[in-house]
Amino acid sequence: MTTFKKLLICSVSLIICFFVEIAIDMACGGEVDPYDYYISFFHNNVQRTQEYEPFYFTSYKFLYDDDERVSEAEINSREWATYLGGGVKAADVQKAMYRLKGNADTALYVGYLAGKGSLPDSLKNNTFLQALPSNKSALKYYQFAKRVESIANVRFEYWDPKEMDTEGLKSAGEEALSNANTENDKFIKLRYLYQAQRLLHYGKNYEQAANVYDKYLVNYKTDSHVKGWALALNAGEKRRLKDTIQAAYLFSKVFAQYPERRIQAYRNYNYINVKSSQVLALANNKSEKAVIMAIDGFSNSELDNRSLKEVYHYEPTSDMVGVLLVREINKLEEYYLTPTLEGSPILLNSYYNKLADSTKLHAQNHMKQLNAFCEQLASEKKYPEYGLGKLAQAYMAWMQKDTKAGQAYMDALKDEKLSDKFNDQKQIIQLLLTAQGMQQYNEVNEAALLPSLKWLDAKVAHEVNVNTSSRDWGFYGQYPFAATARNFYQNIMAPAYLKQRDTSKAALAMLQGDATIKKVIEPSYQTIGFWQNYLHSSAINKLVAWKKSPPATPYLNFMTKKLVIYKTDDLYGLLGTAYLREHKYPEAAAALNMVNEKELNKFPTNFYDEKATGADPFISQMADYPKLLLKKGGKGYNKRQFAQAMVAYQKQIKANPKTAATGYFDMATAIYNTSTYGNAWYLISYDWSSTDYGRKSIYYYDADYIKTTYAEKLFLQARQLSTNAEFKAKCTFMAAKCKQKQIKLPSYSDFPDYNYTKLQDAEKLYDKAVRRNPYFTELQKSYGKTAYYKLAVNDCSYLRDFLKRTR
Amino acid sequence: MRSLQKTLVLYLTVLILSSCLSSSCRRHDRLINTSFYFWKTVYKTSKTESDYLNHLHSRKLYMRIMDVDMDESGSVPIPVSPISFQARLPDTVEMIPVVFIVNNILKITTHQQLDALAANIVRFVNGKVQHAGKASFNELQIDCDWTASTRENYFYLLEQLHKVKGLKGKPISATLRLHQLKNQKGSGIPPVNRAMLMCYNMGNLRKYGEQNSILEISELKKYLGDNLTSYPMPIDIGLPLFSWAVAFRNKEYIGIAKRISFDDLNNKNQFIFIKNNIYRAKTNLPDYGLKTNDEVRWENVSASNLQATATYLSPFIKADTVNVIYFHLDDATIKTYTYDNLQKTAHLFR
Repeated sequence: MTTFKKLLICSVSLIICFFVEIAIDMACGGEVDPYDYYISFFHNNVQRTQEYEPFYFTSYKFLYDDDERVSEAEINSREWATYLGGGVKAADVQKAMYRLKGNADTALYVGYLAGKGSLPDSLKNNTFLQALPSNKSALKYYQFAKRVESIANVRFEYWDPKEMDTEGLKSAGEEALSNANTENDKFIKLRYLYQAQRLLHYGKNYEQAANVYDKYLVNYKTDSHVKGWALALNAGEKRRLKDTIQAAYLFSKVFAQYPERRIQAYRNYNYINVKSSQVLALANNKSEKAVIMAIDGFSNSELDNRSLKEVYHYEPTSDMVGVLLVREINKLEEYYLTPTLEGSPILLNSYYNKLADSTKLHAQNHMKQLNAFCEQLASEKKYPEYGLGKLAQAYMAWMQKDTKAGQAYMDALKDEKLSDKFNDQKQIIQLLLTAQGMQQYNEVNEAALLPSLKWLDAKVAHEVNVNTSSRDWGFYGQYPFAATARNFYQNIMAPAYLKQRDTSKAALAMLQGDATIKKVIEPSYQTIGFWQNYLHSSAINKLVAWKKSPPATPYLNFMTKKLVIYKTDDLYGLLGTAYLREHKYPEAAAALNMVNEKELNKFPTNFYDEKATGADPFISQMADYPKLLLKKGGKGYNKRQFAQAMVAYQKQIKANPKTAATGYFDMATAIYNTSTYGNAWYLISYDWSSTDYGRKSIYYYDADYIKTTYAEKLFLQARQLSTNAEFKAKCTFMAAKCKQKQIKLPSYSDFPDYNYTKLQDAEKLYDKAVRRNPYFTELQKSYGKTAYYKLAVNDCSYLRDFLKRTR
Repeated sequence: MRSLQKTLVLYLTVLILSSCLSSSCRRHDRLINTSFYFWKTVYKTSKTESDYLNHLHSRKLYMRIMDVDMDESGSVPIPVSPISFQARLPDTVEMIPVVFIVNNILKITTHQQLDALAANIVRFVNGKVQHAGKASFNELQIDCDWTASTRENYFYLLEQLHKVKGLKGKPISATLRLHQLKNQKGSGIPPVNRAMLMCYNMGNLRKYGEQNSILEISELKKYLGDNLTSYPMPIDIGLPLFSWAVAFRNKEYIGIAKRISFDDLNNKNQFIFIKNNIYRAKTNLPDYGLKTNDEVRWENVSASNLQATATYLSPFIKADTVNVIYFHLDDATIKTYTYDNLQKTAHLFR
């Protein structure tokens, strides 16, 4: 046996485990869904308008959505249609102006528009193109605009060496200006001026462009949005000419008045990076100040009461107030609610550590102030959707577990007429408050909860209408009601049932949280993990019973509907596994008899030869590694075969006490092998990870899977029943191996502050402990003369270290 | 008989003398081409610059087309600060495009990305050369301070460049820094047709002291010698014409003060002259980013220094033609050198 193997055998690869744990922690993080990474119940789309959707809260993106809410092309097309009149349709304008492919555009330019030839078939019925030639000014302008596209509408590509044709742009800009000055038609004149400014701007002639704006455009009398686009250009000119505060101010005006350029203005405002106080100094009225403070607030992902209060102060009727308020609620959900919620160990996306006291205090103070603001909002009634204030107050009270106060706020809304969306949000908050107010989930309370749950269910069903799976990345981020339902069932109801020790109902709650899409339910990995790891046989028996005959009580009937996704086979497989974990072998065999043979024989692939052969758990080895999976010509045991074999051993031990010692030894060996250190872990666990080694106990079967306590007990029993010294030595050594597994391996996550020094100290203690295994003394004293003892000393470096010390 | 002896002696003397003469001027005069690097992002015509080019009979201008670095996401190489031409190059001047590659990108790019990069570089360079008013170019130069860890990728890129159709088999040259010349084992020999030895930035810029980190013969000697003579390809010589102010605070390097000129250092209200090339700030000078008592080391390259360098280098060069390329062509920089001085430097390479 080489030194290398010896090292592997008894010395724990602390370093490997240490790094592997960290690597796995980081690698299994996966990509975060920026729309669903914290527990949320307050929908961000409750307001009457979605025009500020790009500014909804998410810490993970600069903008919630990158697309302008309104299309500039549509606006322009409408203006043209109105201007030309006579049945010209805006859709036709848009098609001709914005949607033609390059060659079609060119063909038109040299053909029909030049007075040569007729419209191609595809455009024969285009009302815009039909009307254009009869308006000489418009036609001339349109030809000009199309001509400059080749130098102005240039797509930026890094590796394209072509530069903007600054010369061409300058002369085209000047041409546009001279055309403007000879044009009497106001509609066309405006557009020539805009082109002049635009072309000069693109050619980097910022001063000239700004002059065009200042001289001709700033006071142009028109309602056309072209004026706004010129304003946006002018803001850019100011920026490039280093008049940054003015630039920011102008961008704030674009933001306010031209939704088709709102995101552009917002981005530019932020790039310029000036203090809002400086920009405020340029504002002429309250409305402008409101916008500046709102932009400030939208780009702040920290808790921020100031922007909200200021915007309300300047313009209480603005929808931006609502957006800012909802942002604050969502921020509180991320920073405060998610860490404090008593999640089950299977918390969603749980990147969160325990909430630090300072953060908690900060959030609570923030909520005090926010609450005062909401009070003001609700009582002053200036803000049109002032009901939002009470909803926010109720929700914040719920977050802080003040059910009474929350309910009081809800009651205050009783006589208010709320929008449909507000009513939905109200229902959600009511459900939360009711659940929170329940001392426990009993039949009465459950029945009271049912109507709300059914309502929520219907909402989810109505919302989800696509061909997708709930397991797809980004699913819950798109469907707020589905996310609300999932969060409620899996983060509030399931943990509550667990607290009451009603595991079967907790299991139902987990499953209930997974969305049903077109009658298809795909259990999430959280639900699957829960079902596989947290259910005792008693709980599973209940579930089997429910599946077999759906319960009569309406609540349970409702909650058990999704059991259809599990086949009876699956449930019996689970049940059998639970019995195995509980050492109830006859019951396990009976349950596993009900499972399809094919399913039972689906073994995991082993990491030696990537084959899925299963293992013989009765193989006894001194060393854990390398694992011997099968004897020559042997076959792997599936769960049923294992259960049956153990039943046979139990019978044998009872029938023939003389063979009890070896019987117990074999059983102990098998149970040891079902641990993470053995060759047949799959018999009691659905997963195996190298980080399971010596980890802290989480699941009810970790006593076997991690600690090997029952195996130790059986080894000792075997020893007690024997008189053979060699055999007893062997039992002792095996017991020592079990004892070793009961010493917890130190890991980084033991120390919430990731204190490396503390970890190192803990590792030193661990190293000492494994060399002071209590069975070592026994081995030395009582079995020091046996042949097996010599083997053990040869094999186990910890034993050798122990002996060195005691010499 | 006597006249025959006389003739013989005369003939032998002439023979001996001429052989002596020819052995002392053992080699033919080398052909020296003087050129400049153009390293600004905007090319405009400048009388000073064209005058220098004319006087020094410079027929080539080595122009930086772009840097290549990773984009914001850190995943894709992109052109950075590409040159733009506000005027066309004079017909008398040949353009040699130079591309600077940031060494770090070679640590993370894959071969596939390098294939694409080679094609992109050639396409981009071709485009820019057209902007400059040239139909094409006759040599491409790559500038990269590669290291042992990026050597494999860098050489791979150079090989791929050779293969790009758009380059049509034109020669590629690469810049060579002194440490790469000296440590050929670690740095390897780049797969190019010519190398351009950067005889500048050789000292320790960041070390406090009176050294001249730009050009100092004692430093140069540490790297050169046989290395140069035995390098397996023709080598051009790059010489510096620039100067800068190196700032120190409490004898710790704090940067190069870009806004300080030599005249500023001689302003008694701002600086105190200590000795040699060291000056001390008299007061806080926020415009230059300096605080009171910060020290500045003025490094420049005097004409005599240039000439001494040329004298030192010349014997080590074995090629018949040498391109001497000055870094760099910029009004303010070159005005401090007379045509004579630069001509003399070139002459010393013959």
